[in-house]
Amino acid sequence: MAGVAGKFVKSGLLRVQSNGIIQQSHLSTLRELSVGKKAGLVVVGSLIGGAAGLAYTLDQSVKASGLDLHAPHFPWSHNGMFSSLDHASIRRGYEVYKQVCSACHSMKYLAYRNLIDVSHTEEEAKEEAASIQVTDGPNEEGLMFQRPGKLSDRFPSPYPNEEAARNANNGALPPDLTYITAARHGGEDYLFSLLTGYTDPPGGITLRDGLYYNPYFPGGAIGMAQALYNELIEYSDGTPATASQMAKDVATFLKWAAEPEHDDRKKMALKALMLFSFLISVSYYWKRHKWSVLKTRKIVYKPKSE
Amino acid sequence: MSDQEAAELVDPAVAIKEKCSQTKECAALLEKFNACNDRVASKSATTETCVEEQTDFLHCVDHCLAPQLFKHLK
Repeated sequence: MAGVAGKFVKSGLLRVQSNGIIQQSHLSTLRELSVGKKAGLVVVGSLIGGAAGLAYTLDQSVKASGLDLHAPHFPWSHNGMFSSLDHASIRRGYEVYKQVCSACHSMKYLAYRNLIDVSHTEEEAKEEAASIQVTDGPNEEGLMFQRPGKLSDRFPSPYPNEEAARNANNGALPPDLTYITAARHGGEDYLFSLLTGYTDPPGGITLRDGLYYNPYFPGGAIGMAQALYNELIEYSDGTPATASQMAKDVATFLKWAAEPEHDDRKKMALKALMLFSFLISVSYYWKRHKWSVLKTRKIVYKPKSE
Repeated sequence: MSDQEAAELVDPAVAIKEKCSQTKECAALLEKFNACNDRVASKSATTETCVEEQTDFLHCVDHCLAPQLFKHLK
């Protein structure tokens, strides 16, 4: 459009030069057009504007009737810029994962050694690892054998492969939970809402057998049944195991699993901010110091006195 | 949940959700949601669903619940 307008203006200017007469009217691009063309322009303009308006409105209406409910922001204790994760909660969350979630969900990228100094001591982590059986081998006779787990072993998976997992769960694949807070929109807020948010399907919605209704799950129909109920497990630290408490703890645990560097990262940010603010002030002073000579010099023009 | 005995553990979320759904904004949305459920149930064949009404209602309850709930949890 600008190019067309420019052409008109330019031709007008050229004509002004060649005629040698100042004709203000030639600077306007519309004056030269006939009434019919003007009407045409108005129609095209209003069509384009209308189409844009319609597209915008339709887009907005699509957003308004999205089928998934967005989880609210919960005041997690690790929300602050320099706030660490609640490690007591991570430990409780591990208990929830081990006793509830691990029946269907793997966490195959997490090893028992990762728990050391996060939620468990080395001794406790060794005990946890020893409670599972791992297939190892081959031994001298070429046979695979079972042995108790070691710190270096990963968390055991409930199913040997994806097909087995789908077969056992009505065709739905329970996702691996290692990086789940990073892999879902809303992160730990979403997980907490999903775990505590099961409802009856609203009017007009019928579910296939083996599906459950959860308004936070995109589409609403979820293959996982409500997993957390009050007093489902007993916490080793005696915390009352309400459904909300378990959801909060397991969400914190999964947040740690997805971002094991979380606490270090925030500590490093604090260090970096302190160090760099010091270095910036030093370099600012140094720059001013070095430039002080140049900035305060005076250049004098002195004509030869004759 | 309401017929639980006193000795049993009660999830603090239940009471907060109950209180939140009685606030002015949420109660109006709940009424709409219930009206929709009744309307859909009363028809023998309809393509209408109450997903949107439910979403609006739960959205309201969630934003009332979110700042309160964690104070009652460890």
